[in-house]
Amino acid sequence: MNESERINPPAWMEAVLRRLLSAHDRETIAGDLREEFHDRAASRGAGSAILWYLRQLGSFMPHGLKFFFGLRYPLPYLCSFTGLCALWLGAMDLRLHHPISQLAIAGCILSQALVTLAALRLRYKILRYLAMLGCTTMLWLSGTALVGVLRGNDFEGYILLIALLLAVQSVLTLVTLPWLRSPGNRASA
Amino acid sequence: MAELLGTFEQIVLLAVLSLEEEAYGRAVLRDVQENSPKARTISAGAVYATLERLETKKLLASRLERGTPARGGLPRRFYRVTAAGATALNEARGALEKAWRGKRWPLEAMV
Repeated sequence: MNESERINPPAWMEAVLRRLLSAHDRETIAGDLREEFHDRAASRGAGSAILWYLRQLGSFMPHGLKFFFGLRYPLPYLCSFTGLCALWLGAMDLRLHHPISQLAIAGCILSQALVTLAALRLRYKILRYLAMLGCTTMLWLSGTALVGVLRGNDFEGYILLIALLLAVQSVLTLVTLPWLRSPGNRASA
Repeated sequence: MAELLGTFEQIVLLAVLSLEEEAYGRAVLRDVQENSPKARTISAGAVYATLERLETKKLLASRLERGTPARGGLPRRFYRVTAAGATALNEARGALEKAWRGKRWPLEAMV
């Protein structure tokens, strides 16, 4: 079969595939699948080849999502920001003689930010588990704060912002940390 | 002892081993599918993810080669089993043989 007779996979499918792959394998896997597509299209018809390609595309979805969520770059910034917010909240609680429970909340937020940053940096299992465990508390805390702000008489924009960021930080932590590798594999991670 | 290889990791490593100089992604995928009892359920995503993981663990090494016109010039990645990969395969087989020693096969259903 010559070049002009060869049927290629639809361009949009190849574009989606490339989006799902890491730079390391983007070209090689796309080439492998294109090669296989040609053979299938020649032996079983274009329709069958397209269905096959779609199925393979689906099989790369978990990898693609992992790659996407594995982009943990926003997480350190989020943790640093919420950590600083917690420091500021704590300082205000002390200055304004707020109940100790409010100071404890600021302490929890700060600890969570520090543990997550440590887990990202040091990659020890125990830190990962602690950070993920803390996320459940943070999600509950941010949910409570959001409801409180939305139902309250005074609109506290800074609480709303911190609660939203805390929720995003928690979700990102939960989808990112399980994919982190232990120190032994760090070089290759 | 290092962590033992999973069954699918062993299958992929053995496919690379048997393909020798021809072990590039698509050939490995075909080999794994042809030699697996559950060929239809094995997707490209699973095979490539395993190849990537094995390379990360340094059990496989790879090199790039220029692609053919049939691939639109896209490169091919050829794999080979490293010494660590061969050791891991030996250990996995040894561990299984040891565990099976003295047991009748196939096992009879326990009621």
